[in-house]
Amino acid sequence: MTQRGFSLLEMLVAFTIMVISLAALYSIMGGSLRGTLESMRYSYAVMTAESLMSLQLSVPAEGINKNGETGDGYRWQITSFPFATEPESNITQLHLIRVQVSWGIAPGDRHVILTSLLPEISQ
Amino acid sequence: MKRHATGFTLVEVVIAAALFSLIMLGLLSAMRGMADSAGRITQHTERIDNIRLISDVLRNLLSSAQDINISTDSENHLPALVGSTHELIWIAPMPAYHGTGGLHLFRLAAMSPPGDARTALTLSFVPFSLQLIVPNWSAVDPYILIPDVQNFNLGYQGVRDEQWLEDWSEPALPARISVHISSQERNWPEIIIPIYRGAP
Repeated sequence: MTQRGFSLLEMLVAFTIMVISLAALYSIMGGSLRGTLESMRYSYAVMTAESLMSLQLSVPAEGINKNGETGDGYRWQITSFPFATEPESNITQLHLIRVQVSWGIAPGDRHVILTSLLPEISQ
Repeated sequence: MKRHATGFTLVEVVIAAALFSLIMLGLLSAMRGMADSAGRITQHTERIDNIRLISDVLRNLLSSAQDINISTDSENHLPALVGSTHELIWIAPMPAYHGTGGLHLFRLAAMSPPGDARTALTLSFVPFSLQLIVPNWSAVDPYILIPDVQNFNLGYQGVRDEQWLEDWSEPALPARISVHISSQERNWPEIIIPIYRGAP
């Protein structure tokens, strides 16, 4: 017999290589799909945080500490801290306001934070 | 008697064909799966792009709404911003990089364009002039922001009152405008836009 075909072992090796490379390609595609969805959630969270920030125009003297959850499952938290200004200056007291929007199972796992400075207005 | 190898036996051919078809089946379904995911990724990316673009445009144009006192005659004063649940008309400067610049009258409305049964979110605008305070909007070609919008609701909040209203026809501008949009079976995050002005 001068012509020999592939042996069973060679076929098995070829098959295994094909299956491994297909699995790798699949997981790459799955990863990029997950990444796209994650970036969509980030965009949503940033828009939610911008909207929450738009609701605040000023900070009362005692500061703000609020939290809640939106209809689409984003948890939000608004906190404020007095912002150190020069003692002699007679400008309005400023507050550092921080809007955090988080999602996912573990708290604080995925989140976006927007910060801004707002003036204090006593009501 | 010596057997000469003249070709494949039937069993060999059947096994080879079976193996070949198995490999092709695996490869083809993998290819199709990848094409599907690539399509879905493109779709999602376009969706995010659209949402970001449209919300940014609305944020820019609405937050710079102008409080212009329009008096048609000595008696009648038109409010600078007229809004209902599905329609909003306001005056804002057109960003100069679009070519024209200057004050424009904008109209954001959900309506069906001619020859299309779906409801679209449209933006129309005309240069603002005191001679043409109430333009003939049906003669203006609208820009379609979202071709297929399922839900579009506007809300208005005044400067003094915390309550969200469905309509706005007061002479002063509202403090904030909220925009609820849902398209492609998904809700957009609520867009709340503050209107910047001088001292309230």
